[in-house]
Amino acid sequence: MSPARLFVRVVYKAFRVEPGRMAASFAALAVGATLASAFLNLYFDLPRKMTAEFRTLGANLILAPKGTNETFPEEAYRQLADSQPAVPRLPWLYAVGKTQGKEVILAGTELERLAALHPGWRVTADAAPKDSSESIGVLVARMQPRLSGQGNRWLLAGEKAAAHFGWKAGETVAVEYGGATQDLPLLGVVSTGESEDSQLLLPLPVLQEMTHRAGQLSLIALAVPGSAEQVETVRQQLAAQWPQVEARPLRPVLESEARVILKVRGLMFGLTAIVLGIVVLSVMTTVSGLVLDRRRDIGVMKSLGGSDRAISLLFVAETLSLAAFAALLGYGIGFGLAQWAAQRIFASALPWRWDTLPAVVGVTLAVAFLATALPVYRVRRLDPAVVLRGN
Amino acid sequence: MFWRLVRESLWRPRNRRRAAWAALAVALGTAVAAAMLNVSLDVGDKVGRELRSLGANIVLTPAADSLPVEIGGIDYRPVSEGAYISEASLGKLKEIYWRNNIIAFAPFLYVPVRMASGLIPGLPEREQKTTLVGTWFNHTVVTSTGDRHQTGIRPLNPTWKLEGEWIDDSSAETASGSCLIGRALAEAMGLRVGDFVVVMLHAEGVEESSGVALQVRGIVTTGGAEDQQMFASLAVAQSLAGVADQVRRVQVSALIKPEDEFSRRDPKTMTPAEYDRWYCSPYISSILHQITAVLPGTAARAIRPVAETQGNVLGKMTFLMGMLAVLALAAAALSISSLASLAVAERRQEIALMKAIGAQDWLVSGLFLAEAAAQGVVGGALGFAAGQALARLLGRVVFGSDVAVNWMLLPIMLLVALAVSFAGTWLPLRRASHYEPAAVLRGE
Repeated sequence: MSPARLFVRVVYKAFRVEPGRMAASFAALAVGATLASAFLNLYFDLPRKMTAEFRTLGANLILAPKGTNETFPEEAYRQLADSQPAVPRLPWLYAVGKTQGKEVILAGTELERLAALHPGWRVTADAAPKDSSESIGVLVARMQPRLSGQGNRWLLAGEKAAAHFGWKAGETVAVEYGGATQDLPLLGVVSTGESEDSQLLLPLPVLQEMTHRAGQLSLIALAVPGSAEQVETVRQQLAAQWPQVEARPLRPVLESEARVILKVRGLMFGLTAIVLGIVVLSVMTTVSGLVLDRRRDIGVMKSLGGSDRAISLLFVAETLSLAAFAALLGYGIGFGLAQWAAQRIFASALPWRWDTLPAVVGVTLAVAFLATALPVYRVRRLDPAVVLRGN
Repeated sequence: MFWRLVRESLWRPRNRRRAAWAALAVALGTAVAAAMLNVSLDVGDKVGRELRSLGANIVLTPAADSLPVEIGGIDYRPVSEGAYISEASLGKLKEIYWRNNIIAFAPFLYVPVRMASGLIPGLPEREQKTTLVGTWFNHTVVTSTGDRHQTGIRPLNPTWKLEGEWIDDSSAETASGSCLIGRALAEAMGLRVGDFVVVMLHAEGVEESSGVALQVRGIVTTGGAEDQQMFASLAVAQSLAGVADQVRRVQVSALIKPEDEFSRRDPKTMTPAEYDRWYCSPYISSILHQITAVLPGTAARAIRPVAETQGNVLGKMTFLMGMLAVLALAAAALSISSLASLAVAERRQEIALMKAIGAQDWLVSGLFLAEAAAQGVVGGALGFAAGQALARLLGRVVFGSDVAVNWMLLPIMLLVALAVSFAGTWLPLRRASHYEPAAVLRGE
């Protein structure tokens, strides 16, 4: 009988005679591989997913004029669009204006970019029924045709300001600065939970014209995606590009983000290590049990003249082939679990990673190898006569 | 007879090892499940404390106020305009139901000032309009019950970077005559730590007010509007503005529970039982409600971007950890019960022998289940202890603080360990009861 045929027969018989045993080993290996795969896949992608959560905070990098200047040229903003097209950006110009004889902050900005930096802002617009608010992105998309018809003239009132003046969306509001007055249609009342609640937001060009500061900005807010290091890289690029502008990272945002990511990473690492450790132990005990229980088989093989090498090889090959199937199956199930979790928690897909597959398969095979090789090594040193006589 | 059999199968040298292995398997599974559950129960609190570094998530302003003239959280109104909150009443923040969740708070008084540097003879005097922010740095608040709490902008904003030293405002003497300067302002004025500046109230109608000399103790970097401001103790700002005991706003940092369907409901529509549940959960809405109740005349609002991010991150972390714990629990259960059923299958001959000499099925089952119970309890208890140790280790390494021991988990883990061992033993026993003793004993 050729070694290959012998091998197939031994494995086949093992399954036929003791299906429970083999199934238990297979299940232990597969469960181990599933856990390893789910944890590893999540571990590698979690920091990126968590970073995205911090984008609800808004900007993490501010461009402001240097020194005692109050504004800087808009030029920088236009160049920014070319040099960092992927970074959400928002220009601001502030002025203390008046409406109905009272002082109020006028904030000039770009309506269509607000949503990218402030996804959490809620707007109550004219067409909407009472007490229903929508996110700013939805409003802009809905209002776009009307806005372009009106020559892009709009006004958003912060909810404190709207309550103070008793305004409702749809009215026309007169705002003044110096001697200039502008009548703007009130598009909606915006609720932000920040300073903007007491401001009036209006188109940047309108405010620039009113305040005779054409082509000037007070600040640019940037939401640089990625980690603190990436923000620092962008900051250095910007600082080198425009010496007259100061680029300031918002420390509370960046530092909290970095802290939480670090902790999440540490926690996941610790948990993955614990789970892997215990999975290894339990797989080892199950698989070693399988070998130890077949001491008699080993005894018979030895007494029939099987060499130590051939016997070890037979058993190791048997568990390794079992482990290979279990690892592939487990990796698939584990990836599915991780994918489900990512969809459920972060509502975004987990990319398929090729680098975790060899890790999972490698660990499973190594564990299976150790779990078989050690007991086989121990058993084959025994005298077959002792083993076969029974215990 | 029954107990002797049980004892022997657990304790006779021949069997001891097998029983110990089985208990160890249960212990390993329980340990990982207990560690995961423990961490997942505590992760909300731990991550909540980390997220504190985002700064305040609640702001209090006077309820009947004129419209704030505000950019980036800084109020530019002259001191004569608008309403104020009384500084003396702020201790009440530490008397609400969720007082322990109020981690830090600080009052703010914004005074428009003209600041001049140039106390050094020979250097040209430079002047700049700015806002002097009066606040607590590390102030001791005494509640009406006599409890003392340290609070102020230092605990409120742990991410602020300071060059120099913080102002000690525990007593009026150490705090007067000192200030902190924002980075951008310091650069514009060419100021360094240790320099002196003179600040004068800047208000319409006030021509020439007497200045206050302050020494720059530190330079603050935050990246926000604070970089353009200067900070002094609240007493300094109040005497400069002439508004004793008054503050413009209060920022509060509170540990919150993520929002869910329940918390978004209007408390007015809740039944009394639901209202109690809402009131006794640290949702941001119930904390806001409780603050307004103890400080009438103030409006408490959530700083939404901060509160929302905290809620999001917390909710996601808790769900993730919970899911991983359930996963680990399921895997542990599977491996324990497969080991237990192996142990039964291995002892088919024993079962057959017992049946052959007249044992009833229930007696055989009882014997094995009693063994499984012993292994489940011993393994479960060991696993619980090991799980706690693992969770503590993890808590200390990752968060630098211990994970709280949750004794509620002990009975749960024991029950789970027992149930899993029983389930693993029960199925093969059912099969074993159909064995024909003769066939089993003859074969091998």
